[in-house]
Amino acid sequence: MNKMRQIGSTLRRFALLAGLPAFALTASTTVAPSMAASEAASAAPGGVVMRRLTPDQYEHIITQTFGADVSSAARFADQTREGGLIAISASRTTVTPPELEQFDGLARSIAEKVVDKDHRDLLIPCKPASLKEPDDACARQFLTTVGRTLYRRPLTPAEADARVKAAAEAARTTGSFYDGLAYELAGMLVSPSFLFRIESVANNGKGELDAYSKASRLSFFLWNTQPDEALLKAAEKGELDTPKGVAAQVDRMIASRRFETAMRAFFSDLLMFDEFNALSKDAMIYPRFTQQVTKDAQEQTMRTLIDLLLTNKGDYRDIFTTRKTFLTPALGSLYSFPVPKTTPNMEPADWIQIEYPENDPRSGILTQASFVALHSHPGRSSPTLRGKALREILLCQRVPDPPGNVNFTVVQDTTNPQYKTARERLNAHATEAMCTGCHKITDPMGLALDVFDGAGSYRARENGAAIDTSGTLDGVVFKNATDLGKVLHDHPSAPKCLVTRLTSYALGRVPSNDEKAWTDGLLAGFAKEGYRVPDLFKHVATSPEFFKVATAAK
Amino acid sequence: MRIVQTGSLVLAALAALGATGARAETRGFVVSQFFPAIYSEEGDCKGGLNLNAGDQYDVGLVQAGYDEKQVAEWAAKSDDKGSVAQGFGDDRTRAIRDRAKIKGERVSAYSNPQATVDPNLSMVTSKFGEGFNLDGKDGANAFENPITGEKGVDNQLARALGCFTSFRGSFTERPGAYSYMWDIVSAAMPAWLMSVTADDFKNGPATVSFARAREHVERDANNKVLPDLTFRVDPDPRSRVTYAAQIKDGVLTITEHKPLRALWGEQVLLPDLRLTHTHLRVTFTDDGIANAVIGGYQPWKEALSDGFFSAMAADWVGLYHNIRKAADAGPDPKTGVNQQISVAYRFDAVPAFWIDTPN
Repeated sequence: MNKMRQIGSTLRRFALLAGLPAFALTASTTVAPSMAASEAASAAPGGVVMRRLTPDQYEHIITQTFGADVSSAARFADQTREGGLIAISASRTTVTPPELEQFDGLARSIAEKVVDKDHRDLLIPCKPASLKEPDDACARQFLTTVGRTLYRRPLTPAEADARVKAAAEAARTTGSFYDGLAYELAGMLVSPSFLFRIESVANNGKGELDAYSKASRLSFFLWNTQPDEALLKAAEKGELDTPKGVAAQVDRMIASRRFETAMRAFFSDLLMFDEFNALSKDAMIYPRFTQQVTKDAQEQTMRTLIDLLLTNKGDYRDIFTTRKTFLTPALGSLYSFPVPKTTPNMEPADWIQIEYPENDPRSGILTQASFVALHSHPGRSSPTLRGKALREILLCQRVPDPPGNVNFTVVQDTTNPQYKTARERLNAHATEAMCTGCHKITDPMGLALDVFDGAGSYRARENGAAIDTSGTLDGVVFKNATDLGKVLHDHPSAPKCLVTRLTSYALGRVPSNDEKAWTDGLLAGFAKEGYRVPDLFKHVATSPEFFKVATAAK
Repeated sequence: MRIVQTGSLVLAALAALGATGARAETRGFVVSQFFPAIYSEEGDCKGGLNLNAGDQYDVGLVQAGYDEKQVAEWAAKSDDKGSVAQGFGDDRTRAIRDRAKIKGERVSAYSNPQATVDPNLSMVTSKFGEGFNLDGKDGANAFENPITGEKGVDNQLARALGCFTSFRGSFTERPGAYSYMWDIVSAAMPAWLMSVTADDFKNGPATVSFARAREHVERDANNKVLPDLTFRVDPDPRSRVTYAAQIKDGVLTITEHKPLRALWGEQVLLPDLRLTHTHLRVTFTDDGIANAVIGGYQPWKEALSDGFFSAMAADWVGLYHNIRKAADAGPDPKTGVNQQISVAYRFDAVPAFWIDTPN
């Protein structure tokens, strides 16, 4: 089949199934209009958000529905970040024609595997009367079962009828029952009902989500994937319409191992780990920053966070000061720290848990490569980028972008013998009035981290000159990176920021001013309970506000 | 696991390997490059540089008794005159293999090199060379170290190899073929570790230890050996040795010369480095790298074996005879024929962590 016709066909299908007039395309259409989820959402009652699946969510769903050998690694186009999170911009994300082509290819590949001889007996709950002809009963059984999982709700009778009819037509055309089924399954996998988390409002006048939308919201928040059967059943039975029913499900979900996946997804979004996809370092300057380091650096931080916050139910603020972490040999080389390939009991291990000694310059996630290398230039460190990231990501403070006509020559020239250290270069640069204001709020913290070069290796000197790491953060003095971690640990904006980010992540939008009492209450509870992150997840998920839909961001 | 604290970092190292005092610092290294120490300069081969392998084969075939016309015909037909690595599928490559003769029968030169005609290839005739004065004498064959001025330098391996293009090198350039093979095999063979313990790395007593690692080296983004990796030490005592040493003006030399054995385990290039009368000289760069020369007497057949694969760019029969003739020590008590050859190898080592492991 001609590729363009395939795409046109998919687009038509996409549009028709979405019920969106904007997608009513002709077969000759080769360029589709992009669709903003928010545009679609605005047409829906109640102002609900409609979020596109992330690549991880897509992969989790396919794996859980059809198995790991059917799943294909999904890589979507880079997404923008809004309010500090992709989770928010996901509700405004478009599906461009190239992306739709990608979705279509992925869907066809998955569908072909599902119906092939190796999988059909396991994944399709019935056998057709004839391999060469339609079998509506069998097709209905499969499509409605799979549809309930993929759409996170039962198919409507009209949807089910349409799917079965289309599968039959395809079976007649291709002369194969299974090819017909694959055709229709591929159609479901490019449907907006699958690719987008479309939420519906309950008809109870309370301005809250309906039961299946609640199930989805809970599931994506606490597991970063689709609801399981127990959660869908709870929705079906109306249990999610009572606080008790919700609490029971939340407790079950947080106790599950899948909760770690959700925590990882949240922190990956918060810490902007998607930007590792585009991170590059000058190999001549940072030869130790290998592909393996790129991968391990992210995992180091994730393991540190999960161990501290989930496994040990630790205090969130300790992420800035903890000396416990996990390393691989590649990171050991980057950090000049011994990392054997075995545990102390001589068991082979890819990751070794270590604790930095007291006099080591590293403590907390800010001294890890996932922060200092990510927020640096390819060939040099950047106190400004690091300070900006610290303010914006971890304290939720907005740092203005630099004006367009700034001369960065002094800062960029690391070989100028007059300005040996970054501090000296930034001081020279800050003599320009238009720069001083912003650099004052970013550079002091960034300079404390400048003992870590652009790749994350420790250095006490730059160009032979000692690096001065002292500074102040919002009036509190620190001497070095370890001290800076302690100041952040006690900074009131740090836990407040986490509450803001987590509620935004949960809702898919920044909480409005009307929801301030709710977030204030969450913050107070967070503090009272010792800043335990799993508890914060629980309180968010069991809040009535979590399911409210009528409040728009202001 | 034993941990030695050094500065602000934790260094895991072999303990009890002769730390010289309470303030002793142990620096761990992993060998990143290793190659014969050959100091090449223009005019150092009075007989001229040896032919490349492909051309030398043609000469060798005639010397081995093959008809000159036939050899020329084979050469004209051959797609690749330079290598026998493609196998022995055609007449020419079979003939190259069967250059040896035992009782009139043609046999493999590679299994029976003693039964081949010595092609009398060039050896280094220069006065200058790198290595050590192993016998305390300044004999006719000894070199003078162009850097230190030391005379009586014994490095007959350099004389034997130095006129083959693929073995020529300098203080700044590694011999091409050998280095290429080292880079390849080091990706899989157990890494060779060195540690140096001293109170003062500028002057004073020190100890130097060698051991084999359980892991191989890894490469950085520029394909150089990755520093500061952690290696577990193979507990096999045969590959572990410690020497007393002295550092003077930042140059370390060992003061005892017992045998060295490095069980590298790489079956093709470097199965086993065995030296007697071991000498070692190490300097340390500001960025923590150790530049070293190690020398001694090595069984000449092992020196030949070690160089086998790199000889792909040289005629191995010629190498065999050159090294055999250059052997200068360890005479066989019965025949008086020397079994050992004086050698010197250069190596660089980058910082690494050692972790002792139980058997």
